[in-house]
Amino acid sequence: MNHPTREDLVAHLYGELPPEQQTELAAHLRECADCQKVATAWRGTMAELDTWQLPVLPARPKSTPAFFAPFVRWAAAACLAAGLGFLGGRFSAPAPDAVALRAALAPELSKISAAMDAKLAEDRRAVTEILRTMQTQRTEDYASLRRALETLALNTEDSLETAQQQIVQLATFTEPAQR
Amino acid sequence: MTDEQAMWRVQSHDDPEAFAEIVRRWEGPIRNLCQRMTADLHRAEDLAQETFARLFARRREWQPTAKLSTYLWRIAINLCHDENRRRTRHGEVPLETGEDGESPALITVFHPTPHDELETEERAEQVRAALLRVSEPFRTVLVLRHYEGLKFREIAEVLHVPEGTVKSRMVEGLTQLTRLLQPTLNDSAATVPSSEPATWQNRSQPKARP
Repeated sequence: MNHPTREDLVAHLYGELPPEQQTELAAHLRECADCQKVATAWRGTMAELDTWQLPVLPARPKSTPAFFAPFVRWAAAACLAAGLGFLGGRFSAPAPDAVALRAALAPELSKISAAMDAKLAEDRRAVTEILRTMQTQRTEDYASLRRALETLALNTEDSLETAQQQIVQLATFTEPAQR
Repeated sequence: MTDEQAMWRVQSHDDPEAFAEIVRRWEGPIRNLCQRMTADLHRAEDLAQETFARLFARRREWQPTAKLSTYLWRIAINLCHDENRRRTRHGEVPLETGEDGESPALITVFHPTPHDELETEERAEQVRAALLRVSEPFRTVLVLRHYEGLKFREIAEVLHVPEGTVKSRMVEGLTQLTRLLQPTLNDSAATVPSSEPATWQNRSQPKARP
């Protein structure tokens, strides 16, 4: 086998070669003093790297993420700054010229007001017309009903009179004498 | 809930609970990475916080099809690079290995102690100091592969470079580190051969990113 590239050698030391290539390179290292020397030196360096261990800090509780707190503080600070800025601007800004503003807006406001009044009057007329129509209809209905009732009463009176006569005739009926 | 599901909730609903869960899961690994990259615990704490602040600020840029871990590692690595550049400009850290490949002598900030029980700490301090002197692109790969356990393929995704480039940087990083730690290693084991096998000749050395 040819000498492996140094990239393959480092991949071999970190176990990142495919299994077959890994085996092949390991076999080469057993036979090649030059490659073995480099691999040994690098393994020594890797072992030295392992001596620098960082202290394991205790895990923080889930409810108090350490790095999130600053964001909350920043957000609060931003809100405070924005609020102060708004209040500062509110109180430090010059008061608007109300008279000039009113004069500038007056024509437009008058137009809007006139248009609204016209619309209201139109609506009022329409409603009045509807009410008047309803009143007329009701009067007509009333008169018609009255006529019907009077007719009914007359008819009823005639019938009663006829019945009364028949009753009287019946009461005064005398059976004729038998011959 | 997976990392990606949590991040989707953060992205679409600004869900504070989901974001807190992401922070809780990843604050340790991200802080460790920053500490390995800067060799400074306090700066690492700040950088880790900054990483999550950026994650939240850039939550709309995250693609739901991408792994959250890759996105997080990338943000943290970029922040560490910026921090190391800033410190180098201000002379706060020793110079890295020169571009000509010559490694400056290892300067340990550790004061030797006669106590045997501190020998491991002594070696760890030498490793920390040596690692800080490895050029940053190589150190990044070393840290992500050796300490954080990312595969070469995953590192390639984080760094947006081909996998072969990652392996080349790992080779170079290990070589630089071996040279820097040479006095502390066993002579016979640590010596990198001066004459490499034939197939190793003429291999272009990976260049560090500016």
